[in-house]
Amino acid sequence: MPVEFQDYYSTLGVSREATEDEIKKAFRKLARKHHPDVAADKSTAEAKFKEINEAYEVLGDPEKRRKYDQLGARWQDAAADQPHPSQSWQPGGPESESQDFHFTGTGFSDFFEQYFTGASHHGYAQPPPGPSNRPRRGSDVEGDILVTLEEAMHGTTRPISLQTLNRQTGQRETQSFQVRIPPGATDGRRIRVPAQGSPGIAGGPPGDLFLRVRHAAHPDFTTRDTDLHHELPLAPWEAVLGTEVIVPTLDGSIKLRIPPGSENGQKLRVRSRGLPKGKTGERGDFFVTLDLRTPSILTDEERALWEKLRDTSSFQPRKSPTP
Amino acid sequence: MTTPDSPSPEHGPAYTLDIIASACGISSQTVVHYHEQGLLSPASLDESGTALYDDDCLHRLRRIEHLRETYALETAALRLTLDLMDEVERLRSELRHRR
Repeated sequence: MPVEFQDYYSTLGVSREATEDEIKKAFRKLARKHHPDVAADKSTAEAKFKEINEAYEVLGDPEKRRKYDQLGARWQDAAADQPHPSQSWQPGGPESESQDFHFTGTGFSDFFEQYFTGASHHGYAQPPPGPSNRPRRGSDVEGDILVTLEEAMHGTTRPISLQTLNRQTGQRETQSFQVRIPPGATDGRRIRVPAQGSPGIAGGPPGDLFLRVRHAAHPDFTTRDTDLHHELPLAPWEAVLGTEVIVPTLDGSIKLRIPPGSENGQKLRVRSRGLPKGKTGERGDFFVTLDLRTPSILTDEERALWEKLRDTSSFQPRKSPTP
Repeated sequence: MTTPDSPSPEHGPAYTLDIIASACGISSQTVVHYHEQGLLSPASLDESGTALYDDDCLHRLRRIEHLRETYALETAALRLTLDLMDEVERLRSELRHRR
């Protein structure tokens, strides 16, 4: 099954020489524009948002980017050298539980599935030693499923298709099923879909499908377990004098008080505004990291004010504190 | 196409000791042994103190069984291998978060 090459540089609108920072900025800009919650055309926004996420998943990771760059020049040759599991089906071949399958509906393209998810799809392919004619449970199949933070927040149901090879008939079979993503599905968590793995051997039961949740990169938030993190840019005077700012969360904006004398990198915690913790009704926390920004362009008047501050301030950031 | 109504699993800690043992084709005593060896912990305890397991626990138990059966690992080697696999997953996750 040929896969379509994905031009991730083009998706993010950056050059092949783009720096990591440029890639990050391009992703954030596009993700904000096409985020399903804000885009005008919601029907196309979700697909576009996932495309952008996939491109960033590869180009934002130096190791994956290097692999992609190497692949870019000769990806069709590489495809021939390293057959996709679904291309390597050999009906009547030696009995093996090596996995022949192909996902759709996980939020990743076929191209990504083939080259960038690798071994996680193969589950436990090696059967235990023993007589080959005794019934054996089919091997588990593992895959990643891309979940937006909004989906992780509220939960959702996703249609998934899994193409497998029936070794007895040599035919490809498509299994379609619904996977429920529960509210509070944390990054890395595995969701089991019973009996949707590899078929059993000699009358054994089928294996299970384990889908590992991958949180889609979000322009404003990251997650750690059920905690939600946000970086808040601040002007120096806001940090020094304190202020109140409106900060977005996954379920509406909140007014946050920045105390006077706040430091760059300081984390402020808002309790219970993160992802849900299972069925208990509890939620993780929302952490806001202060990101002090300084103006790069000054008017004459602003420069004069900064100079006045310099001449009158007693603040000495490099002086050791007195014991 | 097969039916779209394949069972959707319950999420959260949903399996008792007997169920998770049965899902792996091993005895409950073996699961308890893995507890005692520090290889597996329940996801939570219910109100009566009964151990409950989730899909991550089941995945780990399958991994333990796979390593034990396929590579004949003994407990110490099993623990080391599982720790290393966990560490790789944790570091990969950390790397993703730092990007």
